[in-house]
Amino acid sequence: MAIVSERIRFESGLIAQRRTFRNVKYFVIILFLLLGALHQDLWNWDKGNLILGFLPTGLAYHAAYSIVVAIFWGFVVLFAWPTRIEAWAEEGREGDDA
Amino acid sequence: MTALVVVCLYLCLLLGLGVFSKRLFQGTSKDYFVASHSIGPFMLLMSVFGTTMTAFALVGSTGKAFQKGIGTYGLMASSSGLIHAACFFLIGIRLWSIGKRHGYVTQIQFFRGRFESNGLGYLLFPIMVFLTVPYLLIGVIGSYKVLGPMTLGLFPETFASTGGAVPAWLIGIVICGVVLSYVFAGGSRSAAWANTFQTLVFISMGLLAFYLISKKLGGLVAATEQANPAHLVRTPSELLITMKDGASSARKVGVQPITFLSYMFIPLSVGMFPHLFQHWLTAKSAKTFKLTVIAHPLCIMIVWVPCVLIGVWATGVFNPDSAVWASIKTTGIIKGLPDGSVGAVLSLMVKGLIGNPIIVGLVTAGILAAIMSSLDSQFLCLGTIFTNDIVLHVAGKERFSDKQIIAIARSFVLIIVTLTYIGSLLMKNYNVFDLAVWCFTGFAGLTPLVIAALYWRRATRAGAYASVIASMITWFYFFQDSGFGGEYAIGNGIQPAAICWLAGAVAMLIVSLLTKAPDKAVVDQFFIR
Repeated sequence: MAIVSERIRFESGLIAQRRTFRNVKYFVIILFLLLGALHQDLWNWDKGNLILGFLPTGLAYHAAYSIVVAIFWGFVVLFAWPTRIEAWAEEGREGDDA
Repeated sequence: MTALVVVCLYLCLLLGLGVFSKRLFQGTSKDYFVASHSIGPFMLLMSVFGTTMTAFALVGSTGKAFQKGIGTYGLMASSSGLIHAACFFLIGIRLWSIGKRHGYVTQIQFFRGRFESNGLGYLLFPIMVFLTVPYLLIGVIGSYKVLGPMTLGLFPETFASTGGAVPAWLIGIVICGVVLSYVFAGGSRSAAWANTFQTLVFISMGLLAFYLISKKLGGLVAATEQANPAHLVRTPSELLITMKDGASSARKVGVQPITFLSYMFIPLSVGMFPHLFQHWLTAKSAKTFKLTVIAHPLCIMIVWVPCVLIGVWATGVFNPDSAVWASIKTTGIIKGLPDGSVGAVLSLMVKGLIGNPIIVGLVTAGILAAIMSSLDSQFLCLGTIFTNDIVLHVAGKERFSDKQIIAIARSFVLIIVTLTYIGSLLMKNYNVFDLAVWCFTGFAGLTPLVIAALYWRRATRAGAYASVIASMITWFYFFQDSGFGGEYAIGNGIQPAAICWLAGAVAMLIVSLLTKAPDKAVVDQFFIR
């Protein structure tokens, strides 16, 4: 009986974990699309003023955009990393094509 | 002359690194092709980043910024930060796991297995070679554009026909020879070591050049203020350029919003680069990719922002009326640089503005480092796919010893290097940036194939054929329409990459749905349950 309830708890934990992963996955997709849209900064097209006295606005925006993108990928690595992939790769026997 | 000596010393150092990495080489074909899956996070980041940043990143970006302005950064750099990392995360890690599970060392092996088709491999092989060769040419041509102006006037008697500069044929022999030597020595492992070293060199030398050029121009603020204002925005405009001889020519500056949007398809090409696939497979584990995914956008920024700014600053410097230009000794260099010479902008800025020959030599070595860190991987990957996808596939692996397999790979590398060298001499006046964009466009058009193979169980063999054929026909149509490698856009500025990609995706979708679903047992081997 104890083994059965332990098993149920384990499986429900696994399901909850998968659900959380799926939710994070959707959040990541939305963020990715948002970043894709933010790349098209039409509002900066004609702005010739300089940030910090030397960086044209359009260039400064895209340099900052690169930093935001790195932070986004940091988030993805932390919360949406495909953990099962490693074990799956090791499961198969390496062929000897090489 | 001192600058040239510094460059020669750098090349000797690289040869020394080749000898060192040969000692680490385990002597097996698996080590030669994929470094026995032993590369850690930092080396993976450096080798992947070094491979994607070629002459295109340093020489091409500076030249393009000189032509088009700051829009160059958004066109290729910031979009690459998002898309490249997405390719590493969504395609790279999955291909690594499949490669490790099934023992694949080339993309073609994966596609043959996934779609149960030998013919698909024979279709993809010439396409991969054909699209990789221009990428190789970019590197060698880039080295001409850097070393030619740097050595101008050094050997007036020996090389009178080039104005005393080291001629392209000699530069090509030296650059190809050095790269060939360490690729020969230790294959993938040597390439990873050399790339790590060279990436560190070109990042640091790029920053040094940026600092010294800005200092010479009176600081960051003064440097930007003397630049042509049309280059500080993305608004499309036409600029009248006055040449040294007094003649004028019109140059289009700025970027159309539709061009900016459709350029987003070009960085997708990394998903199909065969040399990048090989680097992915060298990773020790899936976790090794984490650093690459996060740091790649930052590394791009560190290299591209200074290069784009140098290119923009050059618009002020190369103005015949510029006070800066009049104050520096630039005998033999054309004022009002014509479009055909924009590849030399970085080199001319370094030589013209940084007086110290040791620094000029170091910066030039840094630019060559960026070029060679891509060449090695591309040479190696072509040897790998020829050996595995053609020779071993047709003749059978059991017919060859491990040493013979390595010898076959090395022979094909030698043939490719020779062809690249000849091709680069014939095409030495091509614009590095435009040539690179054509190569990326071709690979980007093939990405629906790999995305469908990895994420869509319903993708069929016929769909795969249709996708490859549709994207390649579209690509070739635009390529020949451009005059075989010129700057090209459809309508109001749409990039061919977007159309090639859509053609490949639509063909894959429609033909797969119209044909019989693939065998579930086969597909299951490539999907995580």
